[in-house]
Amino acid sequence: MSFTTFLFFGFFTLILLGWYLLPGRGRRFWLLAANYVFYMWSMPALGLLLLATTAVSYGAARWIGSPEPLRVGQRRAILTAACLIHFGLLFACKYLQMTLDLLGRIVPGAAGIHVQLLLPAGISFFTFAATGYLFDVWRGRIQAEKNFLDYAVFVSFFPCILAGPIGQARSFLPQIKTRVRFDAAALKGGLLRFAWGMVQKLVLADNLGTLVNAAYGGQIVTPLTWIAVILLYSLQIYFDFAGYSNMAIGVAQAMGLRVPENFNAPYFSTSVTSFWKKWHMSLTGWFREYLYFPLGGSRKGKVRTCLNILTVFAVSGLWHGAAVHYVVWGLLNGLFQVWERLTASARNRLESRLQGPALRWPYLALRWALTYCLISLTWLCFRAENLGQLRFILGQILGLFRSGFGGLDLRSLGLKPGMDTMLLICGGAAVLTDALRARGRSPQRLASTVLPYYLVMIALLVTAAVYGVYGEGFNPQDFVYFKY
Amino acid sequence: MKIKKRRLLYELPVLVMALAGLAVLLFRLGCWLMPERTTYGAVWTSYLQEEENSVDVLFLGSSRVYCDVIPALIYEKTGVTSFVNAGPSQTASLTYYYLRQSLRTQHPKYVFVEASGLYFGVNEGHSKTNVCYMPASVNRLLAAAACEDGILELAIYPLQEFHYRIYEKANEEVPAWDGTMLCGYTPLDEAKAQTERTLRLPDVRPGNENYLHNLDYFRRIAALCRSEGIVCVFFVSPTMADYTDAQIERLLADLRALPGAAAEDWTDLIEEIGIDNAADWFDSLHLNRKGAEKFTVFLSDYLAELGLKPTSGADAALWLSRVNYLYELYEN
Repeated sequence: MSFTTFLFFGFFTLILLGWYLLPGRGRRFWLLAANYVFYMWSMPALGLLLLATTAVSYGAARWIGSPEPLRVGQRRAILTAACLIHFGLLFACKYLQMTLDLLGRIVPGAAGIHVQLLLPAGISFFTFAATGYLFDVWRGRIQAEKNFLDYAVFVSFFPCILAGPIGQARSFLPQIKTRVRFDAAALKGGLLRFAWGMVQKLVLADNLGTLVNAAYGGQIVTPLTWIAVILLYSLQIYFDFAGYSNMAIGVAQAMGLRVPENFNAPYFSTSVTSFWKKWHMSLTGWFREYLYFPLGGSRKGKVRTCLNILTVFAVSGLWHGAAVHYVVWGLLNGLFQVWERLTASARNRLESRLQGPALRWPYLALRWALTYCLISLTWLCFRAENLGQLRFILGQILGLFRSGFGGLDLRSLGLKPGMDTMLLICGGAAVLTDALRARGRSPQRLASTVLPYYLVMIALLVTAAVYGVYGEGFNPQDFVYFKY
Repeated sequence: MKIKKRRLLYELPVLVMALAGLAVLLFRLGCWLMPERTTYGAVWTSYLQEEENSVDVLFLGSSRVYCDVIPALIYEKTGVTSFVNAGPSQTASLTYYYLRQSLRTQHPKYVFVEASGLYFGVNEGHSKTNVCYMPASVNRLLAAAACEDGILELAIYPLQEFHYRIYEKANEEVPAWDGTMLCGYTPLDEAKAQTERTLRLPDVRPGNENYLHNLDYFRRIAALCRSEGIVCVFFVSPTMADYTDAQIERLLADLRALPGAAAEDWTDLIEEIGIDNAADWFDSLHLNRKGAEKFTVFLSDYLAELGLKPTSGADAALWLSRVNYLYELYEN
């Protein structure tokens, strides 16, 4: 079930009513049922996978955290076994075919084996949420949850199950155990955030997506247009994923629940390192806590730190997809951060000499532009279907040295007259919203007003309804992160 | 940021108004973004511009009606005012709800219903057009509910289908024809010669699966006309030659059995009407302008035979301008 359908609006209204009207235990049963209905809507069999993941992590955590003291080795063995089951399932669904393909290149007999396994939506997200909980119990940061119902609600929480934000049991479980009282401001704030997410997704991301898809779909374009498309894809993926996250967080907020933030104005960053502190924060937080720190983090010398960064980002690339271009994307991001780390002292010296706004602002602008271009370059590796297409696009762009930039022709990609103005206006609103967020001023304050709130809500919904990409005969784009 | 309960009570009416306003706004926007429709059926904008209770005869049905019946010509021949409120591939249920909605502004003396809809399926591919152009009303919703899945959603929220036109609206061309002058008629100029064989080639579509369902709606049409004191005439158009004799016989027998309704078979009158198979057809299902003129003359004579008298209050100047418009159109 997708957030941007009438079906979901009806579903959510029903869930909200039950959530606020039912008593404690019934309320949690209601939410669990809603979670499973939401997840199983397109394919009921997937519920079994979700249930299995929940049962394994619940059982393992209870065992690890049992009152009878276990030896460290025993606890570690239980944790390892549970992780093997979780990641084994993830591997079978997501990486088996890639492994067989790679094997086929080495062992001739293994070539051409095809295993048609379904990739269940959201498997990477709920697997990470469940294993994160296991690690927390193992480290003693959280008590093993005794109530299966509450734990199952956490793993399957419907706003986050398909594309995050990846929840943390230690912050989520206490919330559902306490009575959530109806809070009109929270409800209004959540709905406002949801509506803004819809504009980001349907209007900004999907309209940009039609242009980007036309170029990546084989439309012949000039080098300058390719550069524009690559820069626009950076915006598309941001609005797509931030839009989804805002909708998910908004839905949770309307229910009086808090889930982790996923973005914090990432494109205002002036370095790749800073960008990754603000982009997909729930995933980077997971990797930092459960991979980077256990590897030694930055405590074991410069070389080891750089290797750890590269390892984390290579794994992050693999997490996104079972293909080499995702690993290249991850490694590029890692390399840029390693470079920034190695040149940090030189950069600091330079910055100390740049006193006064006349020098400092152009320097920051330059750094911002450079960061945006580098990030866009990595997104090119991410968006390309495979390494072949990546090489082809780079070849097209490098063609500018032979035949020049050529004209900028977004019309041939489907940019309609008037669409550019609309994208600029909505994009401007997005920049303003991010600027407010970066300064710690939340647009959520609107929720405590009456007339301004309803006017803004109507404006957002009408904008999404008129300018959004949806409905029969169009090419509504799935959320980019649904496939991860 | 907590909102006090008392303020919440004040806010409830604002919420209700905002929701209602949003619903109306989205619906109106959807209607505004729909392409203007002056021909090819479902011409409700033109229909609603007719002065109330000024139409003597109402024609309903599929494209076989809006391509073949010329109201301005009927007026010129008889002084009788008429309107073709048909729709593309209009199914029996849609015809019924079109009639119900039509009667809200007009009270004709005769309603002619083209009968090919009796053999239509629930979905003939044009439900969206037929429903979305209906005015906002209960009939619109009921018509949509009687169609295939998804149409009801579209009837409530037409923006879903038409929102992309926001970029085209500014540069939209004015329709070539004035719908208020044509009164539902769609002139087709091209001629495609037909032979007895191509005309008699049975259409693959007609089937019996929905026949009883459609017959029920035709029964409702007849009953509605009877209750309103309107004479209801079902007719088998000369262009229905693609139906088999058995199909037409069954259809006529069933329609004639409906209380208070007449059923006319004009399939065999192609020669009598004077339709030239070499020059008067647009395709094997529709007459072109010349063919439509001949059929309309025949219809006018039929209406005269019925003894139908023109409405005394009809706007003669308007109707004469419609006749002139038609001839100017032909000349151009």
